[in-house]
Amino acid sequence: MLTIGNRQIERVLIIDDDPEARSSYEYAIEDMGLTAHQVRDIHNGSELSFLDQIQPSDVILCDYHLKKHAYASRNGDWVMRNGFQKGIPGVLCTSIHEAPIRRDYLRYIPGLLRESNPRPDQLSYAWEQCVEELRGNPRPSRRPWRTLVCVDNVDEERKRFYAVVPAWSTRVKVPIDFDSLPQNIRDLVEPDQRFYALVNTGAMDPDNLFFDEWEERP
Amino acid sequence: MVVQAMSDLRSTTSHLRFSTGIVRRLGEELNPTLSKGILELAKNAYDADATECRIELHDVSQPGGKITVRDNGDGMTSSQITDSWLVLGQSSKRSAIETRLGRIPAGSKGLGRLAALRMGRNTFLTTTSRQEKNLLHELPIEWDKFDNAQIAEDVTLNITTRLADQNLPHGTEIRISDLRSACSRMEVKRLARELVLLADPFDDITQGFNPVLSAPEFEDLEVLVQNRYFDDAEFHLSAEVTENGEAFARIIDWRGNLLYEARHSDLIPKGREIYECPPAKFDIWVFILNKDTFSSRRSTISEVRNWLAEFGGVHIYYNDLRVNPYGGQDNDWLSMNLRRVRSPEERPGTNTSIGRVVVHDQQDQLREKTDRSGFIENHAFYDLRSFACDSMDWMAKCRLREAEHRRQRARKTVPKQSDTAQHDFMSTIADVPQEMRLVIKDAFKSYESSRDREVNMLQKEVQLYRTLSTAGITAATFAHESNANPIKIIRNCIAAIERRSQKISDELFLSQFQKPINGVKRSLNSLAVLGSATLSLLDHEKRRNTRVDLHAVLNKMLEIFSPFLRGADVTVIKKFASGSPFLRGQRAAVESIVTNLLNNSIAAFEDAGTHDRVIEISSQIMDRSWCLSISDSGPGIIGICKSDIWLPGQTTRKQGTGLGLTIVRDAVLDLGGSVDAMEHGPHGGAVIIIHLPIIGNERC
Repeated sequence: MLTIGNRQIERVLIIDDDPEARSSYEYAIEDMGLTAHQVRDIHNGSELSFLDQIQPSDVILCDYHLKKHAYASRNGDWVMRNGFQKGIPGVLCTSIHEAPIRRDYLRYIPGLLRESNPRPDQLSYAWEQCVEELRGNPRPSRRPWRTLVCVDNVDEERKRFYAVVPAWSTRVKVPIDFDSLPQNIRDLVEPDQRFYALVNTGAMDPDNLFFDEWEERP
Repeated sequence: MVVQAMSDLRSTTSHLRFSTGIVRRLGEELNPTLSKGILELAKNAYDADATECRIELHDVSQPGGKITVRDNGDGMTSSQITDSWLVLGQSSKRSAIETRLGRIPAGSKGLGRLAALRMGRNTFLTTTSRQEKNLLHELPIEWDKFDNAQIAEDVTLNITTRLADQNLPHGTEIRISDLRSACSRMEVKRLARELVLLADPFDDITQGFNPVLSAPEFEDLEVLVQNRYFDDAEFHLSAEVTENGEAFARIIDWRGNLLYEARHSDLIPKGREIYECPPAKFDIWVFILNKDTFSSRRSTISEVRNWLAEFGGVHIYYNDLRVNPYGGQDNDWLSMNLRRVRSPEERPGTNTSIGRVVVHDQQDQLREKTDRSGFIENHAFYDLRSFACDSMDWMAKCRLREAEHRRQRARKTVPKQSDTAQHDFMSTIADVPQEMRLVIKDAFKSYESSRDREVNMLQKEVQLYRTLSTAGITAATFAHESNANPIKIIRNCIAAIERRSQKISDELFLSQFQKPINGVKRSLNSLAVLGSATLSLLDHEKRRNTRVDLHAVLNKMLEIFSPFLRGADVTVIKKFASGSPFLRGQRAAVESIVTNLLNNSIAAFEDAGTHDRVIEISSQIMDRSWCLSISDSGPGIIGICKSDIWLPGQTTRKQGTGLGLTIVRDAVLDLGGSVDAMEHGPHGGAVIIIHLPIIGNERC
């Protein structure tokens, strides 16, 4: 049993498409005095049906890649976003070379570890951040602000564009995939176009910037 | 609270009135340039069903000049002047109501006219209505009176009507005198261009509206525009979107043969059903401006190039009149040039093509901005643009397929052509005298044999590149696999063993487990480098042209290589110049340079069995140049000429590819720099010296 904020944590659901990897995560969880539960298959039936059976004392530990085996049709960021929206604290593990996490999902993944071998103390800290954010207390680097986002250039081939967020940095161009945009905004993206979006302008690293709730400039 | 009874003492009516400042501001802000203002008046003539509209400029190179705009349109009655022409912000023109000649009016708010009239201090209107040909109406406007008045209605305007003895020609003349600003020659040229293009001069069917500017610039352009080099275009893409939002397209070649046809499903991106824009027709003519293509054409490249330089780009004709700025000289609303940069072979640019999007919009789905700077960017406009872009994307794919077929055909036909040429040569020298024939044959054989050697070498080189590419792809796949799961699992397990053994007994851990666990960890780190270094090189972002901080790249590469370098017992000495020098280029190019040089040194140590292994990496900044020097304690450059080390395939190592330093040289040249080498440097081994031009050096 682990107490984080106002929660008593007993069980960790491990989501990874490789059974060996799931087992290897169990050791760290057991060493924390928690029960590890491997989620064996989320591909069949509704992918998020396992979230319906989740207990208030459960948390999630999820790997980013879930599609190599016939395990899931979505990546871990999607699972985490949906889990967070249902009030479940979770940690997403990804190494630095993984594909970038969708910027809109990132808003709902406070427990992000750019580390595929998390230590118990790292896991515990990440869940704690998650619980705090679920209680409405994001840390400064995760606090969303409505701010101007300017399109610098568009890479049609890679289906992404590069944005400058003047409130964060006028020099850094942040890549944003079209996938993470609502259709009405995607249709408007072109160089020099400006929008408003919720962005965590307190983030230090451009990879940790999330963009959500896009608005056309009035 | 006490509410007292109140009764109305009196009632006063009032009106919202406008200060004359509004009139001034509308004039200044809506039509900032003279050409824009005159274009508005020409559009007014079009709306009045004029077939001719003549514009004269007098002494406009200085302030105080005069402009006359005369048309043969329907003219106005006195009440039309009062109730329509002089009413701001309201127009009798509505898109749904066609004019007598079936035109859809181009004006919308009547504000453009006001702005145009205010270009001078005085305006004089003369008009005769088609219905009252014996009446001439005149209206002078002195704008200074408005500047001196408080509100617009304080200035009285007098319309004088004269009765003529005979029928007068109907139409309107506007004289704007005492111009507030001068008009440069560039501005006149711009006006001439816009008037020439106003009524789609490219269409075979004329619109029956001819705006004419009495200026030499206009005459030159009019001649140029009439030349119409469409038949010399290599391809003509013709696409159409119908009223129900479905599109289709076809491409024909310069001989008029149909090459490709696309249905709606071939054009529209997946996930979308229809284009939600007014019905439109998009034509673009694409030119290939090279000598081979033009050898069989009627016109010359320079003629076509001049024509395209003036009129190239994709124009929009909205209800038969051109809309600025689309297709203007600085306007690339379909991002054609950006797309062309990415794939020059298949994409047209604004200087190599000309096109138009013709829109007949009865439903007013598109709306022009009040300041006439284009359409309001609403859903219909974006879909219209998507339709044009998707059509061009489809054309690019067709052209890419064609280019690939051409390459395949060339592969098959080139050897045959070579055999035929050889046969022709032999037949030709059969006619040469006997002794000369033998000499020529020997010389030809010698040429053939050296050519075969060269071809052989090139084939080997191509094969080597292919093999290396395959090795690279395979390495990347394995790197991804090994980095993802196996290494992750081993790390998780070894961390668990470490934690649990420590928990049992610190003493036991230190004496029995710590050393083997650390051994596994070190080996894992070395193994992980293989994956991370490979994946790091493959990052697509690194192949974009961007600011590259050279010292940051060096440090990052050394960090990635550190387990390898440690594993090979190499000591790295860093002597970097102060600050952060940077250039604009591809990070991947700089990484290729550093990676290949580090690999070379490590391989040299291994081959020579070097005992004290040192790599010194130093940098200096001289003016606008960054000098990188990598020297090692290996055997140096031996067994190969110093100048040959850069050649492909030249290596002294059995397993070497001989491509590492070639890649270094090519990458340096791509960045605008130079390379040099020394056989033996301060540590005894080779020194490679690289100079790269930099943009600046940021002090820390």
